[in-house]
Amino acid sequence: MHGKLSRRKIAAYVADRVQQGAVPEQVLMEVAAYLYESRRLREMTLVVRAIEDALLERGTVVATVTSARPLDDQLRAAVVKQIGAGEVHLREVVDPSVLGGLRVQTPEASYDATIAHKLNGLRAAKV
Amino acid sequence: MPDIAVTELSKGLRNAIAQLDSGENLESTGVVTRVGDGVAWVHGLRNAGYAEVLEIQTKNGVVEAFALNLMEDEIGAVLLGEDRFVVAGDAVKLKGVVLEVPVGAELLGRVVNPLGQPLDGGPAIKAKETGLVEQKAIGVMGRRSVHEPLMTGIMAIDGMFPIGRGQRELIIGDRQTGKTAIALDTMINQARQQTGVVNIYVAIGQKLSKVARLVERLKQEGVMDQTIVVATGPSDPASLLYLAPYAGTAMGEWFRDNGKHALIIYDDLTKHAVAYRQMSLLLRRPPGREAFPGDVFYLHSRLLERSAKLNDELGAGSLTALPIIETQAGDISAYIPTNVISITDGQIFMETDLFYQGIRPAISAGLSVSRVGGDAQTKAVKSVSGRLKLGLSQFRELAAFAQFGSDLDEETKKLIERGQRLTELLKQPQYSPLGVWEQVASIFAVNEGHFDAVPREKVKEAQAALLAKLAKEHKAEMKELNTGKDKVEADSPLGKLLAKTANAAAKGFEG
Repeated sequence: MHGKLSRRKIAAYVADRVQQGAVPEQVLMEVAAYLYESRRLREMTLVVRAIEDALLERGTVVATVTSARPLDDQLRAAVVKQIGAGEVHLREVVDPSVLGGLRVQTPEASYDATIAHKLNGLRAAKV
Repeated sequence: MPDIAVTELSKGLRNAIAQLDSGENLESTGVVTRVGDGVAWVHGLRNAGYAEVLEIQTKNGVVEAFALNLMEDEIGAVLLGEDRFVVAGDAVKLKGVVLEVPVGAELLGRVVNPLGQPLDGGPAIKAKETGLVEQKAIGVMGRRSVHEPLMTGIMAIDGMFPIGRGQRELIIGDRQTGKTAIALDTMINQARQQTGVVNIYVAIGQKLSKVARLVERLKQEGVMDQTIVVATGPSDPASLLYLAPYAGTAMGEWFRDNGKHALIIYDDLTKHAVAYRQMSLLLRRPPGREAFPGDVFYLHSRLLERSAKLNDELGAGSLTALPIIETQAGDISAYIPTNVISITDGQIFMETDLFYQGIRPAISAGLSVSRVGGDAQTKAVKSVSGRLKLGLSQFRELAAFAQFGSDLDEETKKLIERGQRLTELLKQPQYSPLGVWEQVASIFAVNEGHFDAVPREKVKEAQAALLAKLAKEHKAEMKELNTGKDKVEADSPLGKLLAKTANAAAKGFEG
């Protein structure tokens, strides 16, 4: 009987397999089966985070870019350049509530240059 | 690497999960490797959760157990049924649930075991709802401070150590000092005063003859209709004794959460701790002080924390707990007594010496305390009880001088005599809880000196005469006083009325 695999180990396994060129769907299927069998489906979102962390360690950054309007190619290139990792994948989210500007979130950092964030800052400072 | 797969990991994983064939017909099974003393060791079932119910398939049907030790290669499970039918090699399945008991008003008037099965020979209990046996206590925001009285009907308690709804008040004392009697009187009082409080009596390893006697008495007093008895006897497996208070609490929580009031009595937690010690030692957990396991404090703290007064948004229900602890030779500094004293909101300490001096209930005024009940006292009781406490504590200080008799100054003599009369007044026979007006009138009469001319041994008779007179001649006023809303002062109309009647009642008994 084996013990519980830590999320970090699961993530490392997925990241390694994906980097070695395995089909991501196949690897995810394996992870899903493991999580189901060990009754850990509730940990799914945490596992996803861990995988993103593991990918980051291996030079692949998955970044979430939130903006009020869809990005154009120029801006996209600028963001990728700014992140400056070997391999950058952008997950683009359009959210009108940020009003304007950009928010870039990577597994270990976040950069918020949205109008909504600035307004919040002003509100907190009670200016 | 395809971009979509990495940025949509979460979606990908979700899809993969949806595609999985859940294999519902495929059940994981384990096998019993060892069994004995009510504990079974199971190999396999590595998916078992803590306190999850296991079903052991024996030749004589299914025996249930619950998993308490989850180890790398085996599970230690405590059997809920007889262990003689379970043999090594029996198949074990997961039931997929943690322990639950039926809850609800359907249980009222019934005697059940900790699994909710009837023991009274009545029909099966068809409760609509079930409650978790192990449940986390309600949080800070859901609570309100204790502010409504829970009248026990015992003058010494309601006057000096008042209990509020939602409070946990420990009853502690040696064997045969009247601990259960106090609990029983409190239950009877709920019916007599029609407070609407539901009683739950949890017998943990109590002699079944005692439980039967108690149930009989409750029926005679007409209390059984608002009472649930959860009974376990000395011959039940330790697992049932361990579960009994949690099961009883689950039943009480139903009333609490539905805006009602419930009173739960754990008789007694010493035996509960002993049953848990037995289970723990058989599960090979390391023993600590007095061979109890390390988590014996948590055993009781998590149980008693579930008794609470809820705030108005949650329906303002309450669950009041009266745990009972039996001490050995009055030693309240033993392990379990100190634990439970520190968990509860006060204790009522019963003394053997007082009991044999004929002071019954044998409540020690010095060692008993109620930490939160003061706010819950009704105005009427509060207005007379302040002087009661003062009078008794002054008396205790001077009691040692009492034997010098005539050598004392007038003032001291007076205090001693008042104290002796108060002590006499607080004696109360079993099964005769008093209502608010009876308590207030009696304490008022002695406190204000209206019984000063009555000899000590006739105080109880004078009290009875006073109460009979008040009930007969001033019914309306007493009904009003029974609500406890108004203060009783010597110069108020009610005070004057009480004084007049008390003086008249005392006439017949002057020595």
